[in-house]
Amino acid sequence: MADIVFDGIEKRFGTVAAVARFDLDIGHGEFVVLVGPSGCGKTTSLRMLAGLEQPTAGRIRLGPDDITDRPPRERNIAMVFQSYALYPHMTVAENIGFSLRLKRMSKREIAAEVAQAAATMGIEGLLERKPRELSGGQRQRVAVCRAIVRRPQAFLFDEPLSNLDARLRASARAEIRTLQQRLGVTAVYVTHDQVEAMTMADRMVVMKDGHIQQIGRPLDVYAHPANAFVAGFIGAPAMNLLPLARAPFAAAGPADALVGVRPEDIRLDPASCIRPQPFQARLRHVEALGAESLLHLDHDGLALQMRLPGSWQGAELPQFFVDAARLHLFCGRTGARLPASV
Amino acid sequence: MTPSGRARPSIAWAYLAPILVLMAVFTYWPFIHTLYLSFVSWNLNPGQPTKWVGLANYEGVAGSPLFAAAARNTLIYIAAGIPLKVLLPIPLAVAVWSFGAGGHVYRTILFLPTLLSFVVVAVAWSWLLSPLGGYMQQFLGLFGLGMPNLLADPDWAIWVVLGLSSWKILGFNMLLYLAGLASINRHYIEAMRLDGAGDWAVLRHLIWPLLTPTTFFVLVSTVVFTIQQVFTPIDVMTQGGPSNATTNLFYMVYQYTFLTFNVGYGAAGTVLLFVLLLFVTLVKVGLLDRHVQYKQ
Amino acid sequence: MIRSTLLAAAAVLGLAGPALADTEIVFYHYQTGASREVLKSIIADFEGATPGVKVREIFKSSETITADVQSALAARRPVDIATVIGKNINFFLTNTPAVALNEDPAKAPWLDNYLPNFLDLGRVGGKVYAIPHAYGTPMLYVNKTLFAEAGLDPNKLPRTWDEVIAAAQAVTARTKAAGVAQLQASSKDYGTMLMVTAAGAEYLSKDGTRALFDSPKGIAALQMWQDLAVKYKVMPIADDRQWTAAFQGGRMAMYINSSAGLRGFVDGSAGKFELGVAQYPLFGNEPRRVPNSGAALMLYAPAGEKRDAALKFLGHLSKREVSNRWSRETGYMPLAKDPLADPAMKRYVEEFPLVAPVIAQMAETVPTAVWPEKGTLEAQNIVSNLIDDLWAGKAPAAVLVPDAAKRMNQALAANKQ
Repeated sequence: MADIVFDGIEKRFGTVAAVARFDLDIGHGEFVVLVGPSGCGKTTSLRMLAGLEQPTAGRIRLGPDDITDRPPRERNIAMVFQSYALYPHMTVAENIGFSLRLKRMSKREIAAEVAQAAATMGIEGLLERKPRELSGGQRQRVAVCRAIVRRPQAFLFDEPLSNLDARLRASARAEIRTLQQRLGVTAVYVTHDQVEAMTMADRMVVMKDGHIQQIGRPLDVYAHPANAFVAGFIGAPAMNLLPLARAPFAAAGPADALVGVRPEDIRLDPASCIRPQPFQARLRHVEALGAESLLHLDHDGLALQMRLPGSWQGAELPQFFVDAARLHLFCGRTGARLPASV
Repeated sequence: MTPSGRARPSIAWAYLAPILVLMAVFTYWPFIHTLYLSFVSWNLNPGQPTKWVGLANYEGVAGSPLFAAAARNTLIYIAAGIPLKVLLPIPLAVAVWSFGAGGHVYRTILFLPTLLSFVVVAVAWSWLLSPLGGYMQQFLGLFGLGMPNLLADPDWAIWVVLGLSSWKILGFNMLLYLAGLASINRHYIEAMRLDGAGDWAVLRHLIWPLLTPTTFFVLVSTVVFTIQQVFTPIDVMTQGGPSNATTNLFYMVYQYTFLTFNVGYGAAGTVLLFVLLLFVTLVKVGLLDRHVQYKQ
Repeated sequence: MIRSTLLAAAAVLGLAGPALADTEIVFYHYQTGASREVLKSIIADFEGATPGVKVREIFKSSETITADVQSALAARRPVDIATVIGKNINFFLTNTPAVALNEDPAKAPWLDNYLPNFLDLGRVGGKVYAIPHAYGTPMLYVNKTLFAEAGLDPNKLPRTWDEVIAAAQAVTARTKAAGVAQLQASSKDYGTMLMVTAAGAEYLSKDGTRALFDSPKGIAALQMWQDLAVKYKVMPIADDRQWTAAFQGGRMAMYINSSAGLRGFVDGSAGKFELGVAQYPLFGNEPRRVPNSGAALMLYAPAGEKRDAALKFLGHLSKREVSNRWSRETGYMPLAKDPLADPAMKRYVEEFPLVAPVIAQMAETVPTAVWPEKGTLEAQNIVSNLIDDLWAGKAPAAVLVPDAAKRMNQALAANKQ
């Protein structure tokens, strides 16, 4: 049985739908990421799960219970906010232990639980400090610690890493994922960063303008995006999406279709392709990143990006190849994926 | 700019000069002059020279039968004012705040008394409470009940004045608290709700601590302000009576200075009142400042 | 061209000359409403008869005029003639640069127009510093309609305090109205002075440094006042404003107030109830002695044109016709000697019989007590508290009054140094 179920959830403000029909079954212990650009409805959906917003239609179930009408305090869900929302007037220890204090646990028990959770997050030394004395990374750990001490049925994360610098983000990402797997608690995670989605999710839910675009495991979504939006959103650098009529390579499809090819699927060596298709393009610019290079190509005004391992040494205009087996076709009108027929 | 990037001091003084001059002329100079006047005998007549009398004015004021009653009542005004004027607006503010946009109506209604002239309020209330056919008497008479003469009763008169004073400042202090509440990030409240807090727990563990800067400000400023504010109802309704039940040090200073032109006594009374208020404020700061959650 | 311009300028200056040379005297008073209109009219007459002099009248309410005149004098703003409330005359004499009116007797022959007892208030040695201006004498105003309703003869107005008490009891027993109350004024000073003086006792010593009303007659008077409130319950405990409103509203049968209020009560009772006026009630066999309320005029103008102009204005006010007119049209007590010798006044009394008791009471008026310089606030506070305590029934007068007098004497003793 699924652990969390969104059944026909909607959130409308007047005629505007912040979240249109949202159906999702989340399994026990699963790490699900809601990902999408700003305003896509991911945070609203998360807040409805937390009980901080009321859906205008649909039901939410947690385990066997329908929790749609329950206030947040009765849902046994813990949430890590984007700004961490650490109580500014309490010490770290008091912040972490607050929910236990509300449950009227004894001071000794609270201290023990807090110590254990703090050890898990590696913040034992910070317990007597106030939030304003902590760095961003420390605050994020305290916020997570506050969530885990409650032993909830589900963790919710609302873009918890967006306030950290890039390097810290990478390590924090791994930590959160490892922790969740160790604790085995169901997690719902909201982010606009597709890297976090790809690296952390068991399954991801791509959203745009209040609608779910695709649900699936990261690599599946990556390999088989359901529409042009998902194709362009997931993967960095983004998939090259060109009008088929003007593309330098051919594919079988209607004239107004969009053809997509991932930067790593443009090759210099035809032998590495299943069905190589040569095409001409001008090399405009090379970005050397050390471990790989990004080549910016131009064909008749259409821009293409290509990814190459190692450094680019060649000076002359080489021949480029696409792997026709790795082309994606999307309807020019709706953006929906078209079946490859070649 | 100096090489280290700091602005040169002289320009800073130029910007401060106007307000410093105003404060020197209208706040600090009168204070120093009052201190001087408390040591002389003078009747406000420029033709009459001042005569140095040392501490005689202080002895006279402190030994005056008016002083004991005025001082005692001043303490009552201060002590009773705290729950009525400083604490009572808090639940009102929280209630209005929790209504969101719908609370604007209540906010306006509760603020209106602050805008009224206190003279008008005092006269209107003395009619309401009049034992000779006032509205309260007529209203209670409908039920066969009598209306006690509150303003003539030494035990009740001060509570009428306190009640009016509180009613009048309630809306203003409520606005101050609303400003304080508006600065509370709603995510704190949401986090606390998820932690399992009901309304009372949120009030006690989050709203009250985060409001302490506002509460502290209201406490200090209200005490100083309302000692002067109650002058109007005292003067209009009771003139300090009955049997000195409603007078306070501020009213006493007025009586000495402007009714009997005993400037020396009035100045001495002013200095004593200042010392009292300063002492009360320092006590508050000493006891309470460390509990105030100043945010970063 | 230049010549015609110069001529034109000279002409303009010539015309403006008298205007530039006008002497303006500043006159502080507390008259409101109809009384103020009368004052303005008298001023207009004076200005018409005295070219070159203008009178600027400045109104301040009776509660604040004492302080306001003091402030004006302290700030050296122009004050030429000031209205000074009777009980403060002594203070103003000691603490302000008042000018003697008869400094140059030739300039103030009109002082003889006044009854000598009226000038005693501002007399120091041979010099007179104040003339009466807005004097009132306490009268008993009666709501005759309520009397009839209570079964009393509306044409038989009470003459003594015993009759007042009996009437008041009848009213409270048979109607919903209150019985009687008396004007108290600020700190209940005037009210107390009136109560004890009318009963044959003295209020303060001549120099104002000792309280004298703890005599048997004084205590008896104040005991009666306690009884009105506590024993007979015919006097509701309130303040002047509320009593006035109650009487005007027909909710109180009798009210003792200044004769200055006569016009107001006549207008207020019109169409509501029938108004009666009687002299201040007698205490047993004591002759009637009532201290006046109200204010006098004092002179502050600097020597020279202003002082001369001010003295001329005071002379105008002191003319019998003007003084009587002032009295008729405001209700203030007539101040000139032998008012009924003035035919206008005689006619007035015939047409307006309610004023007859006021005139009859003139000769029974005694000067109001004066307070000394030091200790007055404390002493007046003791008086006010004494009356509050009496009305609250805390103890009988025989207990409260001597104690209050003793404490007053302690407060006022500072004046003896």
